Parts: sequence; C-alpha cells; structure tokens
Amino acid sequence: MHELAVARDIVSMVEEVAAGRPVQRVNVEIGQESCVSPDALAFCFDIAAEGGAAAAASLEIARTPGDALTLKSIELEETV
Amino acid sequence: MCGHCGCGSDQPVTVIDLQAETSHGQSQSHAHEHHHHHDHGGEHHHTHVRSESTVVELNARILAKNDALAARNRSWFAGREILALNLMSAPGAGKTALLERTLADLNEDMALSVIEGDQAGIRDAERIRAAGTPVVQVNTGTGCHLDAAMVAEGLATLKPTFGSVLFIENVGNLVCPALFDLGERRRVAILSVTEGDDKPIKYPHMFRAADLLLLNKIDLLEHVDFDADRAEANAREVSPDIQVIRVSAKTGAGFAAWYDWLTREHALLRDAALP
Repeated sequence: MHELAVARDIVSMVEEVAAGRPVQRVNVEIGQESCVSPDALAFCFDIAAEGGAAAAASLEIARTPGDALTLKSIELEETV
Repeated sequence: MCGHCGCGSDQPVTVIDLQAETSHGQSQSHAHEHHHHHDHGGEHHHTHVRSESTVVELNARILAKNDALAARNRSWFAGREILALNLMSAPGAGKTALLERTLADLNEDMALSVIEGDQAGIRDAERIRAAGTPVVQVNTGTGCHLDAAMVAEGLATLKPTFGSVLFIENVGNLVCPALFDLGERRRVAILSVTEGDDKPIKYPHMFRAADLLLLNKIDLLEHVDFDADRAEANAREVSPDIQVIRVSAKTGAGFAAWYDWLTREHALLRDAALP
C-alpha cells in the first residue's frame, strides 16, 4: 500500500519536470534495505501515472544497497 | 500531501478536534485541503540530448517532501521542548490501552496530549478523551500510515503546550508507517505476546526504525506460545541498540520502567534545549 504513496510521489516529481512533454522512461533506484517492493511499485506506478505526462512511460527500477529511494532521471520524447 | 498518504479526493484526510467536543459539547471536524508543493529545493536538472529522447538527470530523493515537512515538525517540537513519540504497532497490539493507562497515571505530573491516527472513526480518540487528555483524531481515509503533513494538521488543531509529551498513535500497521518520518523525537514499537515472537525478523523495517520496543500483554505469556527472550533477541538482531521493556497494559506490570524511560527522554530533551 505504501508503494502507491511512493509511486504518486515519483509521478508528481516527473510530471513537474516534464511540464506536459510525454515521458518515455523513468529511472529510479530502490534500496534493497528499504521496505518498498519493486513489483508493487511498478504496479502502482502505472495507476499513479494514468492520464498524465508519464502515462506511457516505462519505470526502470535498479536495486541498490542501503535503503535510499532515488529518482535518478527521466527520458522525455524528443520533440525537435 | 495526497501523493503520500494514498487518499483520494473522495476520502480526504480529516482532523477531528475532540478538545472542542470536551469544551463545547460539539464535534468540530474539517477536511483539510491537500497542498501540492512541487518545489524540490535547489535541485539541479542537467539535460542531455540523445537522438530519440532527452534525458533529464534528477537524482532527487523520493519522499523528500515528507521528509522536509517532518523536519519542520521536528523544529517546531524542539523549539517548544515537546517530546514527540511515534507509537507504531500491528492492529490490536494494545497501543490505545497502553496509552490509556499511561495517561491516567501521568496526567497529574506531566502535560500530555495525543494525536490518534486511524483510517476511520473516533473510537480511539474518545477513549483518550475519557482519560482527560487533549486529543485530536486524524483519519487517513484509505491511507495506511500517518505522514508529516497529517501530523502538522493535527498540531495546528491540538496546539500541544510547551514542555509537554505528545504521543502520536500511528495507524495499526507494521509495514507502511516505518517509511514516513513524522518529525518525532523517538519511535516506539509495540509488539504483543499474542503475535509471533518472530515479528521483528519478518517486519525488520519497523523494528530497525524503533528506539524502544514495548513488549505488551505479558500477563498472557503463560497462555501463549511466545518466547519473550527470543522476541527480544530477534529485535536486537535487526536493531542492536533497541531498548526493550516488558509491560502489561492490563495489569500495569513493567510500567514503572516505561515511565522511567519517558522521564529520562524528557529530561534529555530539556538538557538538549539548554544554550
């Protein structure tokens, strides 16, 4: 359940940076010691992203040591 | 803060002031508006252009907004020398019963107040109010934990007094609350002997985050298959420095040690506030 809160936090940051531009990919790092489950997060991300700039984005989750949760980068669709 | 608590607009977080009920005999509740602050303070966005997409490097901490609000709560508490405790356990471990006895015993000697977190209802807050302690109920709607924004809302209504002890009773849940800093000074986990003595191993995040473990319902030890020594050992395995006190909210056993801990923490806080 807390993965939904985490997913919504990620999506709100992504949407702010994307400012309406479509997002292709979202790269996050989820610490192995954190209590966030990658599977549950991926599931919740799709729900949280629905209808926004990140709706079509794929969520790439890298596992890292420790318990940090980090939004590493986002990839925006090239508009040029 | 709905990005954190998981509540939808149809089920807003509500703060219910039971003080108003005590003094005016009427319920005062309001649904608070969620404020969406989207500043990620001074973070730097580097943009690289690739052939088919633009990569924006962020390296932003997830849940940073909650942590920032928690830091604000923490400063607020420190400035007022308020000892804020985040009480966390599974549902039914006896958080409210433990609080009821604590409040009844300490009400005359210390200024106390309570923020009650539950998904719905004011049952627990009514129990606390009956003990004669200022209390607000925060209902999280569909949310499975309190977050720093909800506590800030609760504080605005509760207005705990200078030098008081504030008990924040989190939503009964051994998983989610561990992830959300509320700005508390200490985290207290409660485990009852009617649960398994392997809980600390199965839910390590909760116990790793705790400063104190209260092993509750020890009056039932002879009736259940729960090894208190093993439970303590399991807790120390995930959190080597955790303090453990065995108590019974029903009989009052062990409460003297719990009050000693509270008094000590309160004194430490005052010492820390000295110039």
